[in-house]
Amino acid sequence: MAANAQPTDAQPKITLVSSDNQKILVDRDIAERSVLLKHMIQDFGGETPDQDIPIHNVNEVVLKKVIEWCEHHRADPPATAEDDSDNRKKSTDIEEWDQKFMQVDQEMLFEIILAANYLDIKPLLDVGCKTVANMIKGKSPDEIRKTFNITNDFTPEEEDQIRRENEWAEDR
Amino acid sequence: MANEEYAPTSQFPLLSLPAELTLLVVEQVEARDDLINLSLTCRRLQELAEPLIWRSLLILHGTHARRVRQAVWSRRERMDAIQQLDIFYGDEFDQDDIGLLDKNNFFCHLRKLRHLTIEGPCPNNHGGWTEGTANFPSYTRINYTQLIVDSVQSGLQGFSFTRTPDLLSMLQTLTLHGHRNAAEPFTLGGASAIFLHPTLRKLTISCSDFDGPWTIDDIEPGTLKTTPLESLTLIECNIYLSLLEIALRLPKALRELSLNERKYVWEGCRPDHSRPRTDSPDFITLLAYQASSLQRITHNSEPLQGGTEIAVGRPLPNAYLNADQIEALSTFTALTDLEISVTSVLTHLPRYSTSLTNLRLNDSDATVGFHMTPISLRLHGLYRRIFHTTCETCTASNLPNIDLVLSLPGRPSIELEEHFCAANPDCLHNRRCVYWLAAVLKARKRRFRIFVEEFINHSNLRYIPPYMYGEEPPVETCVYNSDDLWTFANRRTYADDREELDPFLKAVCAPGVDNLVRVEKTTNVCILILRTMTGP
Repeated sequence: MAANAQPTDAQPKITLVSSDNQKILVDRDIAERSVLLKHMIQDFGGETPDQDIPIHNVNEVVLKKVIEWCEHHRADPPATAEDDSDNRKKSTDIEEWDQKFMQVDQEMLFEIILAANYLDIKPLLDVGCKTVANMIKGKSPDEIRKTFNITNDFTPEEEDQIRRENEWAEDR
Repeated sequence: MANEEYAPTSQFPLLSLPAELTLLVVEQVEARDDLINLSLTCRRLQELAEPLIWRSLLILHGTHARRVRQAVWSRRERMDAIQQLDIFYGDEFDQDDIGLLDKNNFFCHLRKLRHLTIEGPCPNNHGGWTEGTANFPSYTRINYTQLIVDSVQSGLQGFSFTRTPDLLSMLQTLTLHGHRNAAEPFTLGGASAIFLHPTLRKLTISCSDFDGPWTIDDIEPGTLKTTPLESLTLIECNIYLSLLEIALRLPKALRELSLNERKYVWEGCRPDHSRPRTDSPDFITLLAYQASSLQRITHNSEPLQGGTEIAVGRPLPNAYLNADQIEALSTFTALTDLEISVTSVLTHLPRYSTSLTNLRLNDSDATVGFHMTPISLRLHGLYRRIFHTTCETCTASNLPNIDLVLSLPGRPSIELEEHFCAANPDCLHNRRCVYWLAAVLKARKRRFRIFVEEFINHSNLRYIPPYMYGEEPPVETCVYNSDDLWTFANRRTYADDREELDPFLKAVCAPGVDNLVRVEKTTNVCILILRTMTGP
């Protein structure tokens, strides 16, 4: 545990209200894993707001799931401002806890990604995207289409040409 | 695989995500094959996956060149995706097809190209370089001279260039290793206009006569100190000061400079000794144009006849600098890392530098062609140079960490063991040499290390620089580190040495004893004469 994680009872709490009108009480530092909430809290002049914060786009089930992730990662060092997609560390390695966390049905995975994006929790968004990217690994185009419900809009000739034109290269 | 354990209960609606999130997912796909399969699923994913497939290209032979050209013309968006292009080709396949990647049909459409490497066949593919008989008929099929000349605005008086729009207009990195043409393989010529390039930051040129058709007098004064070039590396080049002056006066703030004179020469690439080169003290004057920004300098000078003798103690041919040159030496205020061969004129630099933290010294200029000089003699030569350049002249406050780098044929780690670790007086002498220097540096909170370079590959092949595609560069191994004073080759510790020498070394390193002055080699014993300095 990192030193800055204070005992739970000493933490100021914040009440979030999900899109289906359910109140959820969370520790302030957990809520602040979300950059969106962090900025909202800052807008209260740095004081812990005593009024409810509505989360219009996320329902209770998903919000609880997201908070579960934030609780586990409450002591993670803050993400760096490094946003250059050229230098972004690419890795399909997902840590074990996160892998288990993401073992949910497809609809929930979809909702988590949307919520992480809305709440601006970049590490969670990355884990979500990596999980989906891993579903592409090693699959044929047909298998990818089945996995993601994609309709093939190429003619067989076009598909053949794209394959030919993209496949010339050698891996580095 | 983890995702098989929880096979999807339903389909994941990838295309229902907002477009920017679908892109985030695609960007997490690493393997090229996966991206290609993704591009084949539907038009939308083709649009997202192809920029990643085409971002970085590796062209190894003519067939690749032909297919790339066909593919980018079939879908022009691919041209905009290309940010990095590496063309490495040997002799074997369809060399002439490489030429299909020409300016008009290819390069001037790559508007986003940032990193470009052009490597043609080189003597490593042919052999003969150790004997000086290398002969290679090949040359690059990419007309890089035209590419470069047409990518710069003229900053040269009396030379008119017409810049081709978009051509290399975002270029940041350029590595050129390709002989220019069959008639003049080593001539850089017009390609030296690259120093006028408006966006280039990192430039590497190898195996050329570093010389151009213009001099500093041709440069329009307004263009001096304006280009963004930060790093310049020349490998196996005959470097002439007339072009080097342009290279050092155009950039706003050069940070890294690595100049490596040609070591392997044969007919057609012998240097012209009648013209000023980097063995001249004038080199220091030119270098001073970038004195306030240069952080790392490497200079490996041309191997000298009798290099070994010079290394072991004779003064440098250009040991005497004039007052201006000496003044210039004290202006390198940003310099932290200096790597030089023993006969470089920059061996004068450490004593005048207040910022230098690491000095690496090698004797590559005294040992060319892998002719063996006994290691004890080489070490002695390197020691002499260190004493001349640092210990004798640096004060405690500006003494740098020192690394010695020995490049050896065969198996250096085994060889070194014979020179340091056997039970004979020579080995004891060699170890003593190391202890003295290590103890002096350590007492002043500096570090002394010895490295050997060796080629560790399966086929036991050795290459000459530049190390090209598929060639494993030599590996550096640390065989001594002053942190562990009595240990050699990282395993054998000499307790007897410690008992015998420790008290004396402590005396040598005591406060007040600020300098070690001379090392004399008399009957195979190193005698250290200590002199207490009166202060820095």
